[in-house]
Amino acid sequence: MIGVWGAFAGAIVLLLVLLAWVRAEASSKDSCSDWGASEQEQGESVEACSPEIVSQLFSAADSKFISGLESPGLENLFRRERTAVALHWVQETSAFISKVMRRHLEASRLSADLEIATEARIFLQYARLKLYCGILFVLIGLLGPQRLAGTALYPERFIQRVGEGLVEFQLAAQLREPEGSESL
Amino acid sequence: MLGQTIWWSCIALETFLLVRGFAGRLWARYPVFYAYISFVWLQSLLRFSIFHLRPQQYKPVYWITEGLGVLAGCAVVFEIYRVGLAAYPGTARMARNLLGFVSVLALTKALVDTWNDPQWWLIATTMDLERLLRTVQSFAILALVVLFLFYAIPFGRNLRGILLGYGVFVGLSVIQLTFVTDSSSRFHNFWSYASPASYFIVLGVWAVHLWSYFPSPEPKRAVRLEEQYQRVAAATAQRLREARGYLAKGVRS
Repeated sequence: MIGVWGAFAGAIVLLLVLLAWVRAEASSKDSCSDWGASEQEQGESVEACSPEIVSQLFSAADSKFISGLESPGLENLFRRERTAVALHWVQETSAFISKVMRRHLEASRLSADLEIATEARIFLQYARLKLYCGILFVLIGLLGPQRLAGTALYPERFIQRVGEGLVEFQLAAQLREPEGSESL
Repeated sequence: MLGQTIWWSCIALETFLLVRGFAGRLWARYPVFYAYISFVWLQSLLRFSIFHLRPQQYKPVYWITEGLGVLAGCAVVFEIYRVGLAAYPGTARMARNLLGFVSVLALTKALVDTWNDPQWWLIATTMDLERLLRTVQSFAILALVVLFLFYAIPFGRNLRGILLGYGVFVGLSVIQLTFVTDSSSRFHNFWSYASPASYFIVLGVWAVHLWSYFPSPEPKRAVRLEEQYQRVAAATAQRLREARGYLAKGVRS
């Protein structure tokens, strides 16, 4: 039957998850956190960057210009600053994705007509995007944002696959969407 | 002597819990949980009497009452799900599916193992069966707690105490049943004190959390849910797509 060590591991995981749950409950009590209330109080604090800024951030043009000045100190400073900004952008994007998901969960937990397949798909998309943000964060830290443009073939293909899933899902969702709907 | 003291303390604490349940009218709010505590209280008294009056019958009585206790515990898990998610039909539906999945998984594994080894049921001891049932129960509680965390379901003090206490109890029971197979081992001696002591702590958690009635917080926004949900689901996909677009642009440029 269920192996002895499997049962033991399950019990340990249960105790750890219970601990995490108690801590989360305590912290949510401290910050008076029904999602709805906290979001309204905090307002729209996290927004995604515009595509133009993002393009500029990862562009190699600035880097080439600085290299042309032949000043190693300036080049180092530029690289450090640009990497820091790119990392900050990834963090902001990751927070933005989390916020979208939080809002979705807030609505879905109250819905009596929730579809498990749709929820699973949304969660999968969310998990993939978060994972991608994590990978991007590490790659930016290791290679810098400019070099990433050249090595971004795999992530781009990956994103395309996620995008296909998202488009497919959105079409399904829009078919059932009531008229006059508004975005979040 | 220490064992006897813990035993009596547990019975006293169970009695106290039942009295507080009556006094605070918690019985009506959590009937299954208090029925479970009543059962455990009677079970403790019965075991104690049998242990002193007819020690030769203690073992069968212990395992029969233990089996019934495991089944009663399943009802407690169901009550946690029922009360905790009453105001959250979406999460409740998710939980039903998840618990169904856990049950089907456990049943399938049992059937496959029995098919591979038909003698399993004859060889398995009562302890093996209890460990199996407790493990399934622990997975069910784990699935519920993960859902509560994921959907950030706010819990009242009472229900939080019931879930925390019962979860810890089941987790420790599985650990105990995993390691305590040899009655002559040193671990068995240690656990013969540690187990009732941990149960005493669990009773303490229940006593503190169930001192008086605290309602579970109600969700703040519950209007036009279906319509809103469809909008939010579509908008979520749209926003995630936008985020994906930004990420793609970032690495492409």
